[in-house]
Amino acid sequence: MNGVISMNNLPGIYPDLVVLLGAFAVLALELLWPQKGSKTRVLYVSMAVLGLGLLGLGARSWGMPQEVFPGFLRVDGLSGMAKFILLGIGILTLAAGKSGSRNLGLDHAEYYALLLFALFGMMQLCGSVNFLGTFVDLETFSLAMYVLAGFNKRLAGNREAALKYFLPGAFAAAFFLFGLALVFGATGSVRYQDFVTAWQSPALREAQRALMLAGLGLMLAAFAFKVGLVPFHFWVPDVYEGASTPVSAFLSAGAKVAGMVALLRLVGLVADPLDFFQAGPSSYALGRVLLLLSVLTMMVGNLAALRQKSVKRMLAYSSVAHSGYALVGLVAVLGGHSPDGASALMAYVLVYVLMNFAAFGLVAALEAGWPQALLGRPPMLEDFNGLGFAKPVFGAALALAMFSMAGLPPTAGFTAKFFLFKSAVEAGQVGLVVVAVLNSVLSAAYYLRLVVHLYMRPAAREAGLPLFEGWGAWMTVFCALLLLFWGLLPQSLINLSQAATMGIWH
Amino acid sequence: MNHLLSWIIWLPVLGGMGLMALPEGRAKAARAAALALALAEMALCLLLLARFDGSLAGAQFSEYLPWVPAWGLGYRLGVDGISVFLVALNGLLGLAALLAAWKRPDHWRAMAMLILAAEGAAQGAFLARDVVLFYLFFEASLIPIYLLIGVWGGEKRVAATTRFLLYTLFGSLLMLAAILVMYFQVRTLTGKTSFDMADWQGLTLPLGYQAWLFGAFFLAFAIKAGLFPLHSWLPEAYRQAPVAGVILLAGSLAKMGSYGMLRFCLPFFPLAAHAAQPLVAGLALASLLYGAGMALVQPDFKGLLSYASVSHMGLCVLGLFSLDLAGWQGGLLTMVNHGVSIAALFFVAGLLWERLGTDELSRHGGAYARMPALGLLLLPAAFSFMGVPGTNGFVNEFLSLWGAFQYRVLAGALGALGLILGAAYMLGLVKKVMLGPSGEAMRGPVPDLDGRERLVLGALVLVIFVAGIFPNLLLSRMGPSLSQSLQSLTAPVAVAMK
Repeated sequence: MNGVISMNNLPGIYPDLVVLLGAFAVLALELLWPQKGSKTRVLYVSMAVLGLGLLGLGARSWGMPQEVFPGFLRVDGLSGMAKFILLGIGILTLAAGKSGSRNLGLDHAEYYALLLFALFGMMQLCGSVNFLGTFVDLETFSLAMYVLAGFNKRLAGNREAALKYFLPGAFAAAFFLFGLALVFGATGSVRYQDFVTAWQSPALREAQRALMLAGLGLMLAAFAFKVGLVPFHFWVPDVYEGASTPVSAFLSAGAKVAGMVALLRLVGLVADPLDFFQAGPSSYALGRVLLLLSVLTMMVGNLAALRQKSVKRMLAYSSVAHSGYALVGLVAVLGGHSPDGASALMAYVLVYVLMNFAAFGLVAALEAGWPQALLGRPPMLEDFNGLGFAKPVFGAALALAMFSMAGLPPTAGFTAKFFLFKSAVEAGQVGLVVVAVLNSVLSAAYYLRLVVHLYMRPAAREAGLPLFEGWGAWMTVFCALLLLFWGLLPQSLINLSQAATMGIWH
Repeated sequence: MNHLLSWIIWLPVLGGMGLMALPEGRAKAARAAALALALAEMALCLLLLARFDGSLAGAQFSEYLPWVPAWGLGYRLGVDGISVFLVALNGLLGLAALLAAWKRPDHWRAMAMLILAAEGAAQGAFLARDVVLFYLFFEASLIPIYLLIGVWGGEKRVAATTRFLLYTLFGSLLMLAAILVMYFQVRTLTGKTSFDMADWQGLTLPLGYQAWLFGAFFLAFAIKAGLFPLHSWLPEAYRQAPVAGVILLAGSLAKMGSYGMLRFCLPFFPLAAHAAQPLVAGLALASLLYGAGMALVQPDFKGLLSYASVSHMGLCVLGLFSLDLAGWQGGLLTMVNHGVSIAALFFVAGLLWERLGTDELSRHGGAYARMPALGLLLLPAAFSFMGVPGTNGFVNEFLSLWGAFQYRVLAGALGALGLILGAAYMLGLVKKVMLGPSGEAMRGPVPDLDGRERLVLGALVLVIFVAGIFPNLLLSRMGPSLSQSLQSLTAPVAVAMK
C-alpha cells in the first residue's frame, strides 16, 4: 500500500484538479479565442471552475480522513475546510476585481490563470503530509504570486513590490530546503508520519531530537515569511500597497489560510501525545519561539499600523498583526491540553478572510470608480471622508468590518477572538492572552480611524469620491452580514471548525 | 406578555434599525416612529415594574435559550431587585435622550437609531444573567455611544470619543481575559462548564487568585463608572458629547460600571472584596472629594456636571464597598437617582447651549427673569443633587453615608465633607446661571422652555419628588435581593475567618 500512486485515488482531490485544469482551460481559451477589452468571458469561466470545485468538495463528506496518496497527500476535515475557504477566497477575489477591472489593471486573461494556479498550489499545500510535497506546493503558489504581485504596471511601485516579494521568497525557499535536509538526515524520510514515529520512539536521542526541531524551526521560518510573521514581514506593506487591490486581498487571505494550515500540520507533528512543554529542552525552545513570534508579530504589526495613512498599508500591517493572533491558537495547540486550539485557529482564519475581503472589497470599489487622473495612487484614509453618510449601506458594512477587526461584539471578530483566547487560557497561556487583549486595544486605535474618516469628517468634495457600486462593494456588504451573523449566533462557525479539526493528527 | 425582557432589549435595537428603512426625506414620520418606539419601551419598563414581585430575592421573568451549549453559553435573562430600577431608569433616559435630540437637523434617523441601540444594549447588560452575554452588551454599547459623540459632538469630538473608546476597551478586554480564567476555575471547582452567573457564586477560590480576577473586573467597571484616578477620559467625553449622548452615557451607561461591581466583583470574589475594601473605599472617597473640588472650579456648565458625576459615582462606590446593607441600598439608589438628576441637568445644559451658544458660566446669568419655567424645574434637580430632604437625593446620600460610617467613622466624615462641597458647587451653578444680573450671552431674545422641554424636565422632576417622598417604593423592592447577595458575600468570609 505504501507509496502506491494509483489513478483510483484521483477523485479524492477532485476540487484541486478542477482548479488546475481550469487554469489551463483559461489560458487555452484566451489563446484560441481572444476577447478584446475587459475579459469577462474568462472571468465567468474562472468563477464556474471555482463553483465546480466547491460542488466537488461538497459532494464528499469531510468526516473520513484518507490519505489519497499515502505518505504524500491527505484528505481530511482540515484540508476540506481549508479548501472550502480557499475556493471562497477565489470567488471573492474575482468579485472584487469584476467591476472596474481596467482601473485595477486586471484586464488580462493571464491574471485569471495565475490566480487559479496559485489556488491550486494553496489547496495542495493544505493536504500535504510530506516535507517534499509541502515544498513543491509552497513554490507552486509562490511563483504564481510573484507574477501576480507585479501585474498592475499602472501602479507606482508595482515592479518594486514584485521584486521585494520575490527575493526574500527565494530565501525562504532555501530555508525550507535546508530544514528539510536536516529532518531527512535525522529520520531518513520526508514523510510526516515517519517524523512522528521517530519523535515518539523511546530510542530517540536528544541530539536527534534537536536536529529534528532545528529542521522544523527552519521550515517554520519559511512559513513565517509566507504568512508574514515578524521578523519576516518586511515585504508585506510594500507588496500589499504595490499590488493591485484584489491581488493584495487574495495574497493576504490565501497565503494566510494555506500557510496556517500547513503550520498547523507541522506543529501538530510534535504536539499531541506528550505535554509538549515537558518533553525536553529543545521542545521547550520551539514552544518559546512560537510564543515569542506571536507576541512580536502582534506588537510590531499593530504599532506599525498605527502610523499608516495609506489604507492598503494599514491593512497590510493589520494582516501581520492578525497572523500574530492566529499564532495564539498554535501555541494553544502546543500546550497540549486543549483540543480547541486548532479549531479556534481555523475559525479565526475564516473570520479574518471575511473581514479582510470586506475591507479590501470597498477599497477596490473606490479605485474602480476613480477618474483616470487618480489611477496609480494608493487610496488614502482621506479618500473615505464622508463616505459613511453618502453611501449608508456600504459605509456601514465597512464600519462593521472595522469593528470586527478590532474584536468588538456583536461581530464575528469578537467570536473568533473569544474562541482563540478561550483555548489559550485552557492551555495555560494566560500571559499570552493578556498581551493579545492589550494588542486588541492598540489595534482598535487604527481600525477606528477609518470609521472616523467614514463618519466624522466632512467629504472633501460635494459627494466625495465616486464609489463604484459593483460587485466589489456588494461583496463588502455580503461579508459584513456574515460577520454580524456569526457575531450573534456563533454556533455554526464553532461546529464547522470543530468538525474540521476533529482527529487531525495521527 | 411572554418574553418581556427580550422585548425590552430588542424593541429599541431592532426598531431603531427599522427607522433606517424609512425614506430619507420623511423627517416627521421618522420622528414620530422613533418617539413611538421610545414610548413603547418606556411602557414595557413600566409594565415590568408593575408586575415585578418585590418580595422575592431571586431572578424573575427568567428566559433561557441555548446559545453555545457546549461551552455553557446561554441566552439567559432575568431581573431582580438590583436591576429592575436600572432598567426603568434606562427606559426613561432613552426617551429623554431622544427628545433632547429632537431638533438636531443632521442625519436624524441615524442619530435616533444609535440612541435606541445604546438604550437597548444597556438594557441587555442589566438583564443578562450569563457572564458572556453581559460582556457582549457591555461592549456593544460602546459602538453607538462612540458614533454619537464622534458624529454629533462638539469641536474636539473625535479626540474625545477615541479616548473614551480606547480607555473603556482597555478595561473591558482585561476583564474578558479574567472571565476566561474564571470560567476554567469554575470548571475545576464545580465540574460545570458554565457562564451562568448563578454557577459562579459561592466558590472558594484562594485569596491570591481572587485578587487578580477581582482586579481585572474592578478595573473595567471603575473605568466605566469614571472612578478616580481612572476618570480621565470622562470630562472631555461628557463635554464633547451631544446632549442625547451624554444623557445616556452619564445617566445609564456609567451605571453599568457600578452595577457590575455589585453584580460581579462583590459576589464572585468575596475574599478579595474584603481585602480590597480599604483601597476601594479610599479611591471612592478620592473621587468624591476630587470630583467635588474640580466641579467647584470648572468654568463651563458641562465640565461642572462631568466632575459632579465623578463625585457622585464616588459616593455610589463608597456605599457599595461599605459592605453593609444600608450602604448597598444607598449605592444602588445613588445609581438610579443620580441617573435622573444628571440627565435633567445635562438636558438644561443642552437647552441653554441651544439658546445662548455658549457653555461658559461667566457669560451666563440672570436666566430666572427670562425663563421662569426653567428656574422652577432646574431647582429640584439641583436640590436632588445636593441631597435636600424631600428630593430623592437625600435618601441615597443619607444611606450611603450611613454605610460609610458603619465601615469607618473617618470614611463617613470625609464623605460628608464631599457632600457639603457638592452643595457648594451646585448652589454656585444655580446662582451663576439663574440669578444675578443678565449675563453677556443673555442679551438677545431668550425664549422660555417650550412644551417638549417642559415635558422632559417635568417628568424627571416628578420622578425626583416621588422617589424622594416615597423612597420605600424602591427600597422595599431592592431589599430582598440585596440582603441575599450580601449574605452570600459574608458567608464565605466568615468561613475563611474560622
